[in-house]
Amino acid sequence: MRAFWLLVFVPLAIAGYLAVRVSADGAELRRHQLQGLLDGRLDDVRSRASQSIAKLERQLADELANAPTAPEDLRALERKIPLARQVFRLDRDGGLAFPTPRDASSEELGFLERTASIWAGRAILSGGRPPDARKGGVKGAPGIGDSLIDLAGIAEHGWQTWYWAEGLHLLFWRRAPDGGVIGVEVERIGLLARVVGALPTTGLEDGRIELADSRGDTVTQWGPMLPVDGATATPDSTLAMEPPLDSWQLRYFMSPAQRDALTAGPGLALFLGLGGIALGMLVLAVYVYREYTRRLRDAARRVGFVTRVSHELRTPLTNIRMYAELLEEHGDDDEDQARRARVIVSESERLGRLIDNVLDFARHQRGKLAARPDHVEIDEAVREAVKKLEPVLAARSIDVRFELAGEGRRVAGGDALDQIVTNLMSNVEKYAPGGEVTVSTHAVNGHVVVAVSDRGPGVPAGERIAIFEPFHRAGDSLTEASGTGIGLAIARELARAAGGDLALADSASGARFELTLPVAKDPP
Amino acid sequence: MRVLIAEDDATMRNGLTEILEGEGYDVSAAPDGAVALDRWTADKADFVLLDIMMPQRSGYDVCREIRRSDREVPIVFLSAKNEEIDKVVGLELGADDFITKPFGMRELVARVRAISRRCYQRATAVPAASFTIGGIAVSPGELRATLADGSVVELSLREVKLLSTFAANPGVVLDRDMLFRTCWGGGKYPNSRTLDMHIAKLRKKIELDRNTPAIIRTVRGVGYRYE
Repeated sequence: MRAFWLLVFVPLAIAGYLAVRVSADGAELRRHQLQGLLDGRLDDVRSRASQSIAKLERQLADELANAPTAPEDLRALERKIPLARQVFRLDRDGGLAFPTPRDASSEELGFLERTASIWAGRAILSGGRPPDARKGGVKGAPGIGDSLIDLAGIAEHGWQTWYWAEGLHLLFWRRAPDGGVIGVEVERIGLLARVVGALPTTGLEDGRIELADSRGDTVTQWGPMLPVDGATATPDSTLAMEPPLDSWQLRYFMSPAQRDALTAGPGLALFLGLGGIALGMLVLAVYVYREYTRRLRDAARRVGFVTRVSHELRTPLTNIRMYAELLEEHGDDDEDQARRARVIVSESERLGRLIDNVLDFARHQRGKLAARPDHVEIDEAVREAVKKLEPVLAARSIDVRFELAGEGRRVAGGDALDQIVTNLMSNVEKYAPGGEVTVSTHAVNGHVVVAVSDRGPGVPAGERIAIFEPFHRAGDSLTEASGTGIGLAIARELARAAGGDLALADSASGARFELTLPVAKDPP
Repeated sequence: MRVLIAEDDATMRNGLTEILEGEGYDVSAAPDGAVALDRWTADKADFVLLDIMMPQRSGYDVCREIRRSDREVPIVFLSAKNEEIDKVVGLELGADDFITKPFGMRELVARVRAISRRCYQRATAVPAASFTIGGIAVSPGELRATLADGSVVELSLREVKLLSTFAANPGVVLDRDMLFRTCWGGGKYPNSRTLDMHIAKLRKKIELDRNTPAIIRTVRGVGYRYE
């Protein structure tokens, strides 16, 4: 039993473990796939912004190619370049050549104020090597002028960002032919508008994409999903913009429905499927186990039957042989000889009844059990059948009381009736010795009923159906009453073959068996 | 010698009792295992015959219980369970022999005599020393007699008792009552036909001509005498 259930639960446990692993691996895979999908979408958005900035770079570089040096030319250039807030010029030493405070306009003074910190070296430098000490300006304080000169020795143009007041500011610079640098402060709002204009704000079916600045504030956002006021949502994916806006980032927020749709994997379905398989296996295991135990029980019953048949055959045979030898040994004692001869006859009859039962059972197994058509008078046949067992019943102190009211009715199958009554009385002898048994007959509705009622312990409630099963015994221990376990089975089959039935009726005490047979219509 | 029989089949129980009493044993017959154990507890036996499939307690149980208190008493199973495993179980439980049904009377008697020889010292009614009667050497312990011509015959316990009684009373007419008291004992008085039957069997074994007996002679109306 233990091994059997191990064979069921071990595969289930292994399958469950594998299912959990597969589900976990699947979930991990789906997370990676989802992350890749979101990263891809953000990368697509970033690339468009980057393309827009690159285009602006080319435009600015072209505009600054001539790199005039005179202030009037520089001011004229500024007016010409869109998105240029202020033009600036560095000499080859890194010093700010234009604008200068001496002849600056108000806008130029504003530029000088905004950029004062970077020329003084307090701004955040982008890329390049750390700046050298500025020549001129604030003594000992590093500035970006030298670094731009250094960068100009390396690259044609580039960006420089710094923070001042309301946020990020950008300088675009280009190497000048004289070894200096010319550049513009880019109009931040205009640049932002150009970047936002390049973003693919359509085609997002669900969720939301945000462009956030370096402080985390949303610069712009799009998508059908609206943010919940006051809620701080964690983005499902983030991606930093490319320079010069690399302190900004794109954020992707998935809607709950979108997240569920993309993350729902086969986990639940897998477990449901596994549960279904497990249930099926369990049902199959239970069925196999029950079938197996049923066959074991049947086999055990057959073995028990063979054992009991062997015992039942051998015991009377032993007696026959033993008494026959006693007769032979003491052949000159007439009185004893007669007694011994009676024993031999009685035991032979007992053996004959047992053999009849076994043969009938064998015929029943082959489907060839049938009642013979001979008709007998019911009361007379019942009395004769019981009479043959009188010596056996007397030896067990069983008194027989007859209440025969068949009123001359006749039934078919005299031999079957004899065997049925004999089997019933044999059971009384085994299970209800030392008491009274009532054998009665009466007619009802075209049938006759033969009842055998004893005063024994009766049949337990749980055995009332099983007692008619072949080989069934109340117990198989060595101390149980003798018998093969087929008597009642054969009796009922004979009754049914004769068109009637045998049943265990309700009884206040003891056991009451009722044999019902149809009244024979025409005498044979 | 006392024999305890446990057999639920009444016919067989009575037959075994008749056979073994004819052999000279005192028989206590029990109809089931529980009664058998009660009889054993109350009054031990010199050997035990057990059926296996019995009500109340099986023969196996009875054997097991007897062996707890007596590891020497011979126990023989009489059973229809003739599978090898049944015999192995019985012998493992301590039985000395296993007789399978159906068995004949002669086979049973031979087995019982063989056991009796082994446990003869436990019996108190028959002397163990050999004796001679009418030229026949009787060995009580072996339940055998050697005739004048050298041939050996098997004797039942009853027959040994009869010969011993005659040998102890040469020339004395022993009446039926005296023979019953001496050879049956226990207040048992079988009918006179039984005594005659035993004498007839004995003569058949030891007399040259049983119709003209020379050793045990009949004294009509009284009994028998050893000349």
